Amino acid sequence: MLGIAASSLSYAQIDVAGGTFSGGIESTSQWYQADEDLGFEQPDDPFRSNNYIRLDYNYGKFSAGLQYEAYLPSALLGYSDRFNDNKIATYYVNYKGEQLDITAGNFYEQFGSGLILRSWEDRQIGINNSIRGVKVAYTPNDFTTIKGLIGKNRLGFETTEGTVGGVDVETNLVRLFNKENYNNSVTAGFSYVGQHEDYTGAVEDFPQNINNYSLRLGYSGIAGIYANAEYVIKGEQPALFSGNPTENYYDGNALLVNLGYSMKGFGINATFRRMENMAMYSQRDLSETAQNLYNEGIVNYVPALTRQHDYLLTNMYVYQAQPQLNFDLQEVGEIGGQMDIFYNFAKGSFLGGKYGTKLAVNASYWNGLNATFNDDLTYETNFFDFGRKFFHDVNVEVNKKWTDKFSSIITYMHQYYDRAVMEGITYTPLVANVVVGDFLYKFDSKNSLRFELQHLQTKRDKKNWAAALVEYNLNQKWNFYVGDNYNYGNDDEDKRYHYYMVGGSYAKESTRVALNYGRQRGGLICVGGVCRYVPENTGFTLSLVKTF
Amino acid sequence: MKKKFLSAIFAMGLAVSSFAQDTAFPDMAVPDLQGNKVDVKALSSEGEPVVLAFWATWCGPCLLELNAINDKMDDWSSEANFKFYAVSVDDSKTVSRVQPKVNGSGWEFDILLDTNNELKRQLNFSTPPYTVIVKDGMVVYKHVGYQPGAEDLLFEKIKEFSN
Repeated sequence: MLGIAASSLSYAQIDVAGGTFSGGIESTSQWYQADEDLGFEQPDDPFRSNNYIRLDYNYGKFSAGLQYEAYLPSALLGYSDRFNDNKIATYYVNYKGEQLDITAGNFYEQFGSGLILRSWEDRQIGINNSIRGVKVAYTPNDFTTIKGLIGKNRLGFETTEGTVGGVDVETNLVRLFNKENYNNSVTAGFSYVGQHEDYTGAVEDFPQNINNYSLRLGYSGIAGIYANAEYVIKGEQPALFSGNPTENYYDGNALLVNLGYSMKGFGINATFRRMENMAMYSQRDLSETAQNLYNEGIVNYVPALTRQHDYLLTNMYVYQAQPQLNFDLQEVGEIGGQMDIFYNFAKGSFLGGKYGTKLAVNASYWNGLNATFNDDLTYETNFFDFGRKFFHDVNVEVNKKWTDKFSSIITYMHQYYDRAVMEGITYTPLVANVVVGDFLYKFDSKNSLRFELQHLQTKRDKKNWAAALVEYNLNQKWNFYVGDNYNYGNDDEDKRYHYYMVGGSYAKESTRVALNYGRQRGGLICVGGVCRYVPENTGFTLSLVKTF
Repeated sequence: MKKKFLSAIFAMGLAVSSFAQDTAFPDMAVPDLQGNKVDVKALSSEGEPVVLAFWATWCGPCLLELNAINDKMDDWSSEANFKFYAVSVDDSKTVSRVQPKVNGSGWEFDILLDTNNELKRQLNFSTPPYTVIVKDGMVVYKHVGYQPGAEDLLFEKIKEFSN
C-alpha cells in the first residue's frame, strides 16, 4: 500500500491506473506537565499522540481503502490501553453497482435510529466499533433498501469474541403504491440482529445466541408534520457478576417516539424514549462496567437525548444515558423525553429588530424506571411508570444581530443532576443555573473578535464557577484565544483553581494546525451522546488535520 | 525507531497530499429531510457546481456560517448558477433537532442528512464546519473551519466554478 503511495508522487494528480486517491491525516499530540495544585503527576510517557491516516482508492465502481493508526509512544490519557500499537486498523474493498453494494472488510452501518445496531467511529472519545465482515445492500428501486451483514466488531486492533449478523428492510409504503407521490412518505422498516458467542464455561445450556428485533414506522408530509416510532426487542441472556452468570435471564426493550411540526420561521419537536436493559455488547465480559471503561465492543447506539451544549460551563454536568441493569442502584433503564422549539422573529418585526432574532427553547427530562426487585433478583416494572429522577435540563437561547457588525447569543440553563446515578458517588442531587453571553464583533470581512462570559451557580459539589474566553480571528487563516474557568465559589479556599487555556490555530483550505496550552478540567467528555472520563490534566496539545 | 517510522508515514502522506489536485466525489446518495435520495455526484455533472456545507446542530461556528450564507443567498443566486446543500452530520442523538431548527431559523436552503456519517468518512474531514464544491463529479474546492466573513471567499470560489 505504501509502495503505491510512493509511486504516485510522480503524478501531478494523484492518479494511478485510471483511478484516484483521497484520504486524510489526523493527529493529536499531548505533552503532559506536572501540576502541583491539581495534584497531577506527569504520567509514564509524558508525550503521547494519537495518529490516524486514512487512504482511499477509487476506480470506477470499485473502491478500497485502509486506516492506519499509530498511538505513539502510547495513546492519550483517557483512551483504552488496547490502543497500544501502530498498524493498519481497518481496511475494506467495495463494489457499488446500480442496485447492489457489496463491502468486504471493515464497514460502518446503522439500522433505524441505531437502537438495535450501529457501528461508527468517533476518534475524540476513542470509539470505533466498525464491523469486520461482509455487508450487502440491495436497492431494487429508489425508495427501498434491503441490507444484510455479518462480522465481528472491532476491539482495539483485533475483533471481539462474538459475531454479529443482521438484516434490515426499509421501504416507503406511499411510493410502493403510487410511484409518483413525492408529497407524503410513510416509511416502514424491520430489522433482525443476531448475536453469537461461544461459551466454554461450566454452566449447562448456556445461551450462545441472542435474537433481537425491531420495527419502525415513520410519516412525513409537505404540510410540515412528521412522526416516527421504533420498537426494539432485545433477546434474553443472563447478567454477569465478576464473570459469573446469573441464574435468571433478562430480556430488554426500547420504545422511541418522535413528533414534530415545522413551517417557515417556526419548528417544534418532541421525543419520548423508554429503554429497559438495552445495553448490547458483542463480547460477554465487556458488559460489566469494571471490564469496560472505554465503551468498547458495543453493538448499538443509546445516546443521552439531551441538548449537546458547546460552552465550557454548560458542559459541567452532562447526562449519560442509563440503558443498563444496575443491581446496586436497583435501576433497569430510563424513561423520559426532550422537546425543542425554534422560532424566528422576522426582520422588521417588533422583537425581530432590523436584522432578526432567533429563539430556541429546549427541555429534557429523564427518570429511572420504577422497578421492584425480588429476592431472587427478578424484577417487575410497568411500562409508563416514572421512577427516580435522574436529570433535567431546561434552557433558552436568544440569538440577536444588533448591527451589521455586532451580534450576541444569550443562553440560560437550569439543570437537575443526580450524581449518585451518573458518577456512582453517594451525594445529594444538585441543581445548577448557568448563564452564558457570547458576543461577536466583526471589524471587517477578514477580522473579528468573539467574547464569552459565563457563570454557573450551584449549592453543591464545587459550588460556583465563572468563565471567560476571548478569541480573535485574523485574515481568515489565524485564530488566537485565551480563556479561563475559575472555581471561585469553592468552599475550600485552597481549591479555588483557575483552569486557564491559551492557544491558536492556522487553517488554509483543507489543512488545520492548532496548538493549546492549559489545564483541562477532569470529568466526562461527551461527544454525540457517548461519554468517557478524561482525567484532569495540564499540558500542551498539538493537533493537525489535513484532507487530500 | 517507532518515531522515525511515524515521521516517514507523515512525510509520505504530506508528500502525496501536496500533489493533491482534484479527487473524485464519492458515489453515494444522501437523503433529504423528506427521505428522498440525492445523488450529488450525478447532479454536479449537469452543468452547475454543487456546494456542500457540512454542519451540525451542536456546532456553533457552523450555525454562524449558515446564518451568514442564508442572509446572502438571494444575492448569490442572482449572480451565479449553483446548487447549495447544507449537509447535517447530526447523528441519532441530535438529528431530531435538524428539521425544526432549519425552519425555526428561517433558512431557505435544502438540507441533506448524513446521519451515520458515511459521506463525512468518505470525504475524510475531521469535524464540521467543512465546505466543498463539486463539479463534474470531482471535488474542486475544500475548506475547513469557519470565521466570520469566510462566506465571501466561498462565493468567490463559487463564481469561479460556475462561470
